[in-house]
Amino acid sequence: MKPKKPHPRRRWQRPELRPLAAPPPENFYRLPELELRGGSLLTDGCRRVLDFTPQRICLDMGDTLVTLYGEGLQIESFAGKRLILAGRFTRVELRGKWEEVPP
Amino acid sequence: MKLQLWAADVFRFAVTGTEPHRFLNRAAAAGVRLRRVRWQKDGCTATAGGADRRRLEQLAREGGWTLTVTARRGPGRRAEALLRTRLGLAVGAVLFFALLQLLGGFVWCIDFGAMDADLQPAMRALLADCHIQEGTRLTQPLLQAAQAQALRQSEVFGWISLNFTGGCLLIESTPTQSRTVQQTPPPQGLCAKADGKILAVETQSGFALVKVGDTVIRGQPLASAERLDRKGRAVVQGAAGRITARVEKQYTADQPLTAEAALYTGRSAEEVTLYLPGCTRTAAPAVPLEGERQTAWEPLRLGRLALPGCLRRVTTWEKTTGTLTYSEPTAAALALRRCREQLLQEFPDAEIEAEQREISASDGVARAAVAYIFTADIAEPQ
Repeated sequence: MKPKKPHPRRRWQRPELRPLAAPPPENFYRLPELELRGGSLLTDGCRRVLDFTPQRICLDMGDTLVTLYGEGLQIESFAGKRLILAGRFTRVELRGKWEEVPP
Repeated sequence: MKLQLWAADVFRFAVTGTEPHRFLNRAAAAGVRLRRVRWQKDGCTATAGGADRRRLEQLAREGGWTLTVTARRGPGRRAEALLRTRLGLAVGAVLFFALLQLLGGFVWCIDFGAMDADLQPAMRALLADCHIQEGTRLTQPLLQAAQAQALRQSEVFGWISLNFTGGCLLIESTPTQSRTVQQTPPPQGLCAKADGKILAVETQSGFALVKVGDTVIRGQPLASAERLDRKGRAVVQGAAGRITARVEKQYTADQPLTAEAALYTGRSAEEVTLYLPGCTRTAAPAVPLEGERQTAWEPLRLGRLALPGCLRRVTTWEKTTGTLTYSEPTAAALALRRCREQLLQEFPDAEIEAEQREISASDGVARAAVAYIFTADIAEPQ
């Protein structure tokens, strides 16, 4: 009978704890926060609506401009900085407010 | 000027002009909640609350947009029509609230809370003395004066609070609870106030000189306040406590068969005073009488609804001095009662074990002689 081949032992590696306890990247909490649930998109950080058409809505969210593309886009509720959008979203584009627009 | 009631309504409007999204930004920044915003070729449409209409119109005017109300939902339009056609409703509502405000300062009812029913007439009389009854316009000084007056009756109320709200005067009180502080007995002994046989010696302080079973005579020392210690020095301690003895004692009392007394004639007169807000009406009796007076306060009620008014009935029961003639049994019973009163006056804690009565009547006088055998505390300070 052929001797059984010993199963190769995996070397145990100590998990990296430092990344787990490390703080989030710089300006993490200043990044735009969007909650997309089905056909609705909710955000609490919309400073202004820069453009509003059924195909494109552009939002000023601090240092970032968020442009949402889709069909039948509409604003369901807008009060203060809380904005609820509805429609069929196809694409989300994020761009720094101070970046130059590519030609 | 057209009356408009928009506060409870929801309306839909259209904004036209250049860059309508800037109007949305300004409205959101101003705290207006926009709903169901839809894009249009020349602007957008949205829904907002009627309370924000003026603010939205002002924003549109300032930014050069045109705001047009396209739809309106809510009770406002119907209320406007109602007020236009039936002005009496508006006047009635205003009058209702004005009267509610005005009459709220009057006492409509007095709630005695958990106060004993026996104390309520006394409390009502106290309030009446302070000029507070149903129909009175109650002010803070009046309320404070009544509360101070009630608190002065410290033997009745431990704590009392008068609260007036919405026309109802609520009285909260707790009965007083007194506790007697026992004083230190004076440096003197106890002696017997009657002849008897000692049944129990319960001295709290001092030094007992008798023991159970001893026979004592009136004036005999029962407990002393001084005793010498081993070195011959006097130790002084005031005597106090109970020394119970069985006593035999006789009392006599006379009761004449005829006596002068104040008697009710059976006639009465009633004076009724009606207290209403700001006025008082009194119906005096046709024939005023002198005698015992009894006052009763009756609040006016319509079913369970208290009205701002109160009736005061003062009933006078006429009395006259006349000769009262007792029958012999009645006079004997009164004489016996006087004997019992004499016993209880001398020995308040007496417990009668036996009594022997002798009743006689002569010369219009009933005489009772009762020999009591009783147990009582016979100790009295020397």
